Amino acid sequence: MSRRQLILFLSLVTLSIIFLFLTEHAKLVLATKLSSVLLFPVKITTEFFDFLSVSRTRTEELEITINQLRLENAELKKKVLQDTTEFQETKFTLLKAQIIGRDPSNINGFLHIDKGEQQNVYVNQPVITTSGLVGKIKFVNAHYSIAETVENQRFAISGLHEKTGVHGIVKQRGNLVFDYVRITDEINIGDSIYTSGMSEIFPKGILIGTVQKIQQIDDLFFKPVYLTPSVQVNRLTSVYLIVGKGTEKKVELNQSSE
Amino acid sequence: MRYLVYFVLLYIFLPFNFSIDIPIILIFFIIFNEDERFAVIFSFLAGFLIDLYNPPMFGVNTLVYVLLAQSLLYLRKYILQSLLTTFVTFVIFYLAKIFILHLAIMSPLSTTPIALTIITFFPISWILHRLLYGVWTRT
Repeated sequence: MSRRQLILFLSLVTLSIIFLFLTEHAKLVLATKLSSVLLFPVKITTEFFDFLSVSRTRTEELEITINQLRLENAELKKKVLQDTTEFQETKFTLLKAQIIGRDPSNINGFLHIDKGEQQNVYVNQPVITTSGLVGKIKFVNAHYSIAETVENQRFAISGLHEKTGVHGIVKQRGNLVFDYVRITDEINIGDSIYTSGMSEIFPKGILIGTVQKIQQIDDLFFKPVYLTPSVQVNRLTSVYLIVGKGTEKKVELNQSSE
Repeated sequence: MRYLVYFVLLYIFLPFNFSIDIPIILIFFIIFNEDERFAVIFSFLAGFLIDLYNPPMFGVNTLVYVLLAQSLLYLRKYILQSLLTTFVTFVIFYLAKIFILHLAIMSPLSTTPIALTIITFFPISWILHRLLYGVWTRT
């Protein structure tokens, strides 16, 4: 080691030791003042990435708001149609979950998501996206859950054709079929089928799919109606769980019944 | 000009220091490719900038970086320059830094950044050689 190098090394070590033995207050003052100057370029870089991160968070918040408003809208529509003196004010809360895996034997039938018991996920909890219904929770672990999707063979749900009020059962039989529709019911291609709300699991008004084909068969009573699912399960990267259905009962006098 | 590039790179990668330790790769590269005095000064400044993130431990990184850099500068003439020895030397140098800092300031040990830094050592070194010397490797 040359003499100059030795002096430089010893000077820097001494300086470091001086820094080490400064009082807490002096360290804070020195670091704050120096960082505002020396870390200025670093702060610009960090702030840029923070900005991007905030934008992403904001997008997620807006997605959640859209879903909540859709659900509330569906509930309000339901109330308007109901002829009753009592109605419930329903508030939904959504929890975003990332898809962390799929069942290799049934790639679109089951989705593994990154939320579990620790986030209060429970069996039969509805799973949706901004486009519509995905399915329901089938299995819950502490840190992850498995959701059964509309593309699973055993999936079935009560559906409603909103224009006519026709009820039926939406089943997965290779294709999504809206079953038990009478041959006289007026259902057209492109019409939307929503959840009917006639179950304890799904709230009313979540889009299940749109009518793709109406098959004419030799049946005296029913015609099978084929649906295009509202959600393309194979393209999903995240979903929303309806975590809470806090209901407040309000009793109001119905003007029409008086 | 090369010195300026080192500082620019240090500033660019400093915010990602906690996920991948590119400053330590830069220091190692400088120790083996640049002037002794610049290597020690650069190590001091890198440690100093890192210390600014953690004011209560002000001076620890600076001291550790200077001591390690000078130790490696002293030892480098005894180290045969080949891919394997360079890699092994870097791993020892980096793990020594991690271990000392862990003992000194109880910094948490996380395997992912350590693995990432070790994995990216060669690619980053090759890029630095290409960027600064116009060749992928130097012997």
